[in-house]
Amino acid sequence: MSRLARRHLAHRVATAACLALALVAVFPLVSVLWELVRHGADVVTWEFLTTPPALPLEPGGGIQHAILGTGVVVGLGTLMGAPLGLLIGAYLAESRGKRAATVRTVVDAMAGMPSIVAGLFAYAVVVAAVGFSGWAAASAYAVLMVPTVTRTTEEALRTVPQSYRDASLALGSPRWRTMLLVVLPAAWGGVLTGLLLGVARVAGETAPLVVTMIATPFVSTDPAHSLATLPMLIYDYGKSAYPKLNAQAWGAALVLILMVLALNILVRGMSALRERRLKG
Amino acid sequence: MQKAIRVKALDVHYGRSRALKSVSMDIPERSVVALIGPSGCGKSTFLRCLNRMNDTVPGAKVEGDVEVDGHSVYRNGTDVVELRRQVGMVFQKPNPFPKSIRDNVLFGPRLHRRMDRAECDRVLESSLRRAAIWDEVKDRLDAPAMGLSGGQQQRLCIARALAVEPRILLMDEPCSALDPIATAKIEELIQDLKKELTVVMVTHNMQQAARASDYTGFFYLGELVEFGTTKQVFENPREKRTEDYVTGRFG
Amino acid sequence: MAVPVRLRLGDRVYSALLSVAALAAVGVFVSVMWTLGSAAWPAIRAFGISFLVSQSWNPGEQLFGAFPYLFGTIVTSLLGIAIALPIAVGTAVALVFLLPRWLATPLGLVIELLAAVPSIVFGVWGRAVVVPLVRDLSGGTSYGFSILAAGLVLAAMVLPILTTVTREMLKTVPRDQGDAALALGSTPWEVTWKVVLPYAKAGVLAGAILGLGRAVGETMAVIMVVGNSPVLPKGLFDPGATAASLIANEFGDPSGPLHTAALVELGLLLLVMSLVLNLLAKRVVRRLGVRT
Repeated sequence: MSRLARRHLAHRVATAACLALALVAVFPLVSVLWELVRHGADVVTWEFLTTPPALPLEPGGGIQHAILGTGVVVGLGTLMGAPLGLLIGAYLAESRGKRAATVRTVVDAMAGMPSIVAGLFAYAVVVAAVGFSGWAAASAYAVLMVPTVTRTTEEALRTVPQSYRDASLALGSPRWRTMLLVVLPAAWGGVLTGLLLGVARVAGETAPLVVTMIATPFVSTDPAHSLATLPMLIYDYGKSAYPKLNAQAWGAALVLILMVLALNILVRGMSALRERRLKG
Repeated sequence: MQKAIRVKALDVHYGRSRALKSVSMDIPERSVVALIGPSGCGKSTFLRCLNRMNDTVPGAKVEGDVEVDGHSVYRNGTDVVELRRQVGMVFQKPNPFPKSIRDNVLFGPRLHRRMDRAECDRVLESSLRRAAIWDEVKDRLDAPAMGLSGGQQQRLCIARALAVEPRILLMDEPCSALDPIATAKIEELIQDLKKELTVVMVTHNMQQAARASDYTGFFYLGELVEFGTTKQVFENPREKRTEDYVTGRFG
Repeated sequence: MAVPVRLRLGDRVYSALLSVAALAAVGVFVSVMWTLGSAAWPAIRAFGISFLVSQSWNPGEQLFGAFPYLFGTIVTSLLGIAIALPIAVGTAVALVFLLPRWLATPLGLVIELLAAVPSIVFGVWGRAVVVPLVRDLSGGTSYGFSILAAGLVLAAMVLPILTTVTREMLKTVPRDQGDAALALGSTPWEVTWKVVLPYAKAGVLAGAILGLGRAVGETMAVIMVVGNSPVLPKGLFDPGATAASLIANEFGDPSGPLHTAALVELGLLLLVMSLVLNLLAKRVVRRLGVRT
């Protein structure tokens, strides 16, 4: 085969290979969803979502406690982490210079923190003080959330044209009112998106929970003690020897992924809508 | 004289709009042809048909034919890769690869054949000499090409195109991004190049066309209005539109 | 002209609030390092360098050498990247150059959604799909819980970020680079392989390093497929363990404060690893010059 023919062949083979690899790349998500639906769809019923767990050898029971607990921990984590992230994002959007650069580097570094390390930090600080508790888990979540919310807030604020700020300042409005009444309303879509992204990021994290709380079968919303959470439950039940719990683990996993995917798609939808509105 | 390129009734559509209207042209061997005309009148489109670079534009439709050295370019069996080796191209903005000078020049030859070290050096020197840049870079052949000045980069791109030994060299406004000194150097080397190959050059600069070319084609709104020797087109144009353009009445 | 006092106060409060937030950011980071450092200190003082090289992790005898776990972390993460990178590059090339827009956009979306899947779900999936796969691949000699299984699951987890970064990098390559190569008589694949990909390589490399950073910290997906064996694995089909999986496994039931400190030290090492990789990625971007 001449060199030219070989080169053409190489092109065709490589093109086919790239297309094949793209197919391979799609496989994991498809497989994950397929397995979850296959094993978990029957399990997820209204009863499953709204009743507390039954004994392992008895049929029935559900994951109500875990859904409540996840809500509490994620909610508290958001309450603790989001405002801080917003403020730091505002700081970075409005500041320049070496101090801002340092803060940005620090936030970037924190963004890469493994979630289990955030859990260890929460353990050392909160569990040491008040024991295994929802507060500790929420603290870990807060630490994980701050970098995400900071970055997206900063970006959202930066996309507001400088002319808006200039106009407001020229009219005599102080900086803080400019931010509150002009910049933030213009950027709120992006800020909200960032917040939801932060929530989506932490909602599925299991590792921090493993070191800040003990798995519990009780229904409770008291953050002073351990709470049940979806990720923990999936882990626990998944390891279990009882087949009913294994099955329920799949159901819970399906619920979790649907929640997280729904949030993600919502976020994307909001961003896309905003972009389309901006482009007119 | 043998015709290097024969263009027959070339029609190009980009989607709905017609960029070239039934253009025909015979380009003699070993000459320099300048293509002039106002912006957006199809000169670059025409040029890119000659080496089928228009294939890369989505939605481009080409009708008619181009014959290079007697072989049809748009017929089904044509090997585009081989065509582009024989018909080289230099672009408006210098676009060297972010590699060394050596790797830039040898990129083309290495695709087409295996060469040993001695052959590589020979091709490298010969191409850089023909592009009138050898003396300036011979001591730093392994330095990055991006470190050269704009004019040097363009001459490097010419060397790179010459390295695959094309019979025809297409140049799309090669000097428009360069200063007058660099422009003069390139115009000079084009005169040398035409001893061995055919040069087809799009230019916005009428003085350049008048100085540097043997034949000139005037394009207007996708039509080839006039084609003839440069002397005739500039001093004695047959068409009024040509006369208006070369005397500066518009464009 | 007298400026109203109210105005000045409002802005002062605002600036103060932002500065406090900025300080808090740095403060949180510093306190993380400090807290973990002091929690790990008993173990650091007791074992020093041997923590890194000793292979015996023995809670019963209060002896903690973490080498098998650090080894497991590094091997599974590198394996994950090694598997994911070619897939990511091929996919990115397909999405940017080969597929029509109407197909590329939804496909890209599907791959990006993969990033949203929680790691515990990957773990459950891994156990149900990847472990049996590895078992079959080994011809039955392995139960499937192995370094390879962990590598495959990690590959699936870093695939989205690697693909996205590569895709972005490919899009930033200027069109005239490809045109130049084409005009010299390259086949389209040669343009991609010899010009476009090399142009983008700094960005792609940085993305790979970031992906590595993510893989290093992964806990729950790995813990369910890696086998959790304290013995140093000798082959891909052998079970192993990673630092993160060990922490998750043993933290709930430590055999004493030294054990806890040792686990925290392991966590600190993971944090340092991810910080170093983060910095390295930035270095690569600067040194090889990501052109945007």
